[in-house]
Amino acid sequence: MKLEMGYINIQDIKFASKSEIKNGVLYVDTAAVKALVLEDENIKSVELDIAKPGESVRITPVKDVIEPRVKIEGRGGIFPGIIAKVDTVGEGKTYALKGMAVITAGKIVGFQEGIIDMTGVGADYTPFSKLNNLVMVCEPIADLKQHEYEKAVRIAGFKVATYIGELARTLTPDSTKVFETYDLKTGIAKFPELPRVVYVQMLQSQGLLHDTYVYGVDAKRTLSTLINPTEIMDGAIVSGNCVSACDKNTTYHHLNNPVVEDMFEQHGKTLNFVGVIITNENVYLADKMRSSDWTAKLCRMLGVDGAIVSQEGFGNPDTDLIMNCKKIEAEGVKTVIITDEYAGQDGKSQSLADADVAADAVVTGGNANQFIILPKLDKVIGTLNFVDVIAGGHDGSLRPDGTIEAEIQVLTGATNELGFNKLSAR
Amino acid sequence: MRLSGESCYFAAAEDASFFVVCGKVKLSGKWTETDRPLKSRKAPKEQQPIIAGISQANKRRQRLCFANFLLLGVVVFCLFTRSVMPTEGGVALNIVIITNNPLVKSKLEGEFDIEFLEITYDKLFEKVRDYVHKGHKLLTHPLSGSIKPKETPYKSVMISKKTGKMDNESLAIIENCIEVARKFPIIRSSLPQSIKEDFQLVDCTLIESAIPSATAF
Repeated sequence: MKLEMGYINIQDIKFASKSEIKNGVLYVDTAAVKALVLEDENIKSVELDIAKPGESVRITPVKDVIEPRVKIEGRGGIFPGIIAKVDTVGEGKTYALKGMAVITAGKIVGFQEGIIDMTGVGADYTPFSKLNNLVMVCEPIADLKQHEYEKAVRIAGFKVATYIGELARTLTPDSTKVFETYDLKTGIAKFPELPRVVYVQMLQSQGLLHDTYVYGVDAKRTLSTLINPTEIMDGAIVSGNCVSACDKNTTYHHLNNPVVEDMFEQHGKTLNFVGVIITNENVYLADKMRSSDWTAKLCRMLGVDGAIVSQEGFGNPDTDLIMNCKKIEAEGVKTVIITDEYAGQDGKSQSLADADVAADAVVTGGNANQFIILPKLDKVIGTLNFVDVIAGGHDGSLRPDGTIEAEIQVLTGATNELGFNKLSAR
Repeated sequence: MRLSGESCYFAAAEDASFFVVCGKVKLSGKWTETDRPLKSRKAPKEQQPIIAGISQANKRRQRLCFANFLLLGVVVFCLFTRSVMPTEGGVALNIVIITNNPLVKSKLEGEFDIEFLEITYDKLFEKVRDYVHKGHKLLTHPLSGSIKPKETPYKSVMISKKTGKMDNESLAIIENCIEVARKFPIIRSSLPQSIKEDFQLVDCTLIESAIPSATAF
């Protein structure tokens, strides 16, 4: 599969009477965007705001972050099975708007949504502080169930991102990059000397509000399967995950998966990137056994030499991670795992809830229990009502002077387990 | 005779000489359209005895009716067992949910065996360990996904109702979970009611997500 990505740099976002992109500036017609969001009867109202890098702005509670993209050539459209019809994506040409994101916000479950600071120490921990953000704060109709609210906000975010992506259809990209993988036979013939490496991406799939969708299908209802990495760049995997801001994969993370991009960077040089295995993280123990068995079996069937496994979330998914690692290693495949840690505020406790000697090559995204004090910022998009109860916060997190003391778990993307952050350990 | 798909449900009818069902069946290794009567496999046509007063056509129709009736009975039985078995009075027999979550109790009681205990997160894990010592197996992982132990006061764990020899794997998991939970302090003295309800909901959705797998067979 061959996908050409065209990158269009967005340097600023402004509200205007007409939506368009001109000279690197995104102009947004708020009335058109609001009308799009309010098509869903479950959303009572939506407020739009703009947050730029360096501004004294705090966005909370953040649900999802999405990069607008548009399919220019090739089958299907962005977010297949959700916004576009079901069709295999990942080939042809796609444009992405770089330097910006659509952020959805709203109190879905009080304790789980995250914080994005656009300045101060908190901004260093979240990659989204470096983007121009169009923020949508969605309010539900009365008595709407949380999972219906989550769905409404999730879909609204994709609709708005698609609407904005479409504005780039006739533009000329600032830069382009080609990503290409080969079928097994061609890959082996083309790179006979290179180690064949697969990427195993674990998807959060623990139930309502903890879900990930693949071509519109709830990942917890799937067996481990193969996907081409370029399909992921076209939005084949999206987030429906509301749990643990620091290490949940937002849709932005999926679209810009750094493991995929780094493996492509080495593809044909130091390794042969065979493809991606996606596997779930279910609650039921037999499901964990089945999915990890299946993942190891796929590694064996593909005859790979190495595997990189990334986790999403923590807790019982630590067991999925270790099962995957142990079983893939048992197939004679060298395995590296990417995770994050909950090692206590002093960093001295055991990092994961599970362990095995086979997990002897570990990359960490950082310690989510790391303590931080966030400064008071001038403007809040959303509400601070939930700071005391947000995951990573505690009684008295929001101090009288407006500063926040908490663990970095509160910051969206702070210890991301795809490596989309700056924390690690050596 | 082998049937594809849910073949086990049709095993009881394997002795019948032919089947007629909607769609297709796999008969003697071949796919056969079933909108027409299938020929008996017992003996070639020329070897079949001629019974006075009953034409071959009538005999075929009788067999057809009998097989249809038999099959209908099997299908109804299987659908019934698949949807609610094994149950007693509508309660799944093989599963017990140990919980301190009132929402799980109110939502799932009657459908599942619920042991509701007004105890802490730590104590609930210890209770589950007691059950594992008695030979019950863990069916769900006791730790939540992406919620720290004791950040939420609520926890539900599914175990087998049936007991056997103590399951070492279950014991290792619950012992490890107790250790993990110990390292996390209680970070909030009290929670607003709305947040309590959110925690209850998320714990409930976690345990509910295991139910389709737990009741599949």
